[in-house]
Amino acid sequence: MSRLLEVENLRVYFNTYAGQVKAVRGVSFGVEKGETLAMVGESGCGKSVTAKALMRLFERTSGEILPESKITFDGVDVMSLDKKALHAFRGTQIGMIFQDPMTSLDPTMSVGKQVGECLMIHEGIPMKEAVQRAVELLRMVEIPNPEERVKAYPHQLSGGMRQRIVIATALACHPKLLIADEPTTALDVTIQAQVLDLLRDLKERLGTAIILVTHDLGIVADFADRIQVMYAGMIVEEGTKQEIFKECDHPYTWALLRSIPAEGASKKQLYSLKGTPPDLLLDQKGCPFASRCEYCMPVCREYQPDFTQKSGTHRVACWLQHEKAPRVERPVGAGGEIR
Amino acid sequence: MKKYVLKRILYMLFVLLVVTTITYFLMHCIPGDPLTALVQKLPEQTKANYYAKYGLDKPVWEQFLLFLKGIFTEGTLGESIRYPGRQVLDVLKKYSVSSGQIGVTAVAIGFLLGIMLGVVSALKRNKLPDKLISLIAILGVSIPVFVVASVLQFVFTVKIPILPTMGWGSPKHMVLPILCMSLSPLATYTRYMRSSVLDVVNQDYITMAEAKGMSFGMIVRRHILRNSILPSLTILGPNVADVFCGSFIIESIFSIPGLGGYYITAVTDRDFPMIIGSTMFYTGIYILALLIVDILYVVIDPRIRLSETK
Repeated sequence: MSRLLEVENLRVYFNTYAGQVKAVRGVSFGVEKGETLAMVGESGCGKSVTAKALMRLFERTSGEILPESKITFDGVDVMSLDKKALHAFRGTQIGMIFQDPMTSLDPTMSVGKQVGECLMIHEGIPMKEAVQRAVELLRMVEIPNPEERVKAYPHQLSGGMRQRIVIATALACHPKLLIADEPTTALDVTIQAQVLDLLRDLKERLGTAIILVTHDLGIVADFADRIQVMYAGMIVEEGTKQEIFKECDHPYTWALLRSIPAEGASKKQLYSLKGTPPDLLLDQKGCPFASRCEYCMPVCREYQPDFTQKSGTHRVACWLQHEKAPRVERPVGAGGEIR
Repeated sequence: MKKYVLKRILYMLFVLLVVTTITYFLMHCIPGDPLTALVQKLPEQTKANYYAKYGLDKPVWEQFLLFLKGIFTEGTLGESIRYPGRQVLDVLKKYSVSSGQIGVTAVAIGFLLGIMLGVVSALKRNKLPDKLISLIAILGVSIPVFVVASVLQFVFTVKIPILPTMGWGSPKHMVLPILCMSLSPLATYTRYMRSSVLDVVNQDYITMAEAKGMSFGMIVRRHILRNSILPSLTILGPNVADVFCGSFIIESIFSIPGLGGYYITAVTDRDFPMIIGSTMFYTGIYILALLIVDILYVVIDPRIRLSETK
């Protein structure tokens, strides 16, 4: 079966005064229809940039997707779309939810119109009708009293409500893939749970595939089908939820799992990974994680490791997988269990 | 909303009264009065007769009360002392028309064009169009209007004689003054708009609009303009008030019968009724413009509330 999304060798560079920031350095992955893929990694590892690249959202920034990158969505070569086709593609094929619902809605436009805009552009219906349809969409994202709320302005709604509006907007034209870029980071914990429940519910009802970008492994645990761990603009490990949480093989994934606070262990100090990620301005020689890795070997600093295919779905880029490497015991911390 | 506007209008009347009062007493503090030059060589008795005729022999506060009485009972702002027979109200009515015509057109052109150039400048940031527009904006702000006026006169009446040098009466006469007067507002609005558009363009909701699949032109029209126009609107109010009262310099260069000239000569002549009349007119338009801008704010940005009550 052909995949819904196929990304090959995606590279995104930003031209800045300081030089070229190589934010995403050759990322390849795919998403099946109806599946939820989580992209996990710390701040600045390129996960949001990867997500934005899928819709080529860099037109007015200094960002540039390098020509050797290949993005195929449902048989369509995204990189070769012209302006008009790209506009038609966005919103209808892929929808996007942004991090901060406080800033991702236009403060001067009623939310009904903002949701309706999508329908207006892509289905060519007048605004009035689009707002009518927006009522249904608001009902779908479980906003109480949607007939009244369509007329509200963003500042009259709470953060959770606004994020629901953003979700409704993203889903207005029934995209096949929904990119959720840290959808709950800016929300408080109880609202986070509500929004996640809603997303899960919508996914089941609509059959939309989801790419969930997050740094919160807690969310990933009960949400994603597959997980892809990113570090310094590259994928270091990829596998099913089970494989990442129970059988992961990359030292960075280990560190991520160990730093999840475990239940009942609140008095113990949390594990923290020493050091900082490499400067993305510089060219990377060897494994990007080498400088922070406690298992670092001489080869790690010289050559980039290739992916080792552990199973049909599980792959990992680490020299420890090499047959000549020393065997290392997987250190599973208290928080490393699937909760 | 209605209640608020009503309240604001009451406040405005109060402000008008305060400004009038202060101006009235201030202008009586200036040395000399409208008759000083006129009566210098006349005998004492004639002098006294003159002063008595215009009520200038009475104490200032009594004159002020009489002036107020005139407004409320007869609806008149009095008569010019230097040019007997000229009703202040008539002068205002007659000459504000030409000033207003030129001024409002100039500001309208400056505003619309400035907004457009500002948007283009911001969206083409650091590229050639931006640099060209910035150059125009800097020139517009820094070159004095009389230099621009002279250059324009030279070019369009001497070198390429298609427009009249000066005078008033036909649409052709209005072209050069309007061009001169719109330059400075144009530059100001361009700069304000450029910086606020730059601010708005980087907002998340613009990226979100892009992700919805809107074309960029549509995003500009539906999201960017509305969110970035407020600063420009803030200066539009005072600007409109200014132009109504005419520009002394432009009017004298192009010999336009406008209010600006009257305002200035009234002050140098110490023509009390004219001074106070023009001041009231200016103040009135100014506060009216502010009210309109405040109402426009609310129309444009729903986060702004007019009244302090919820």
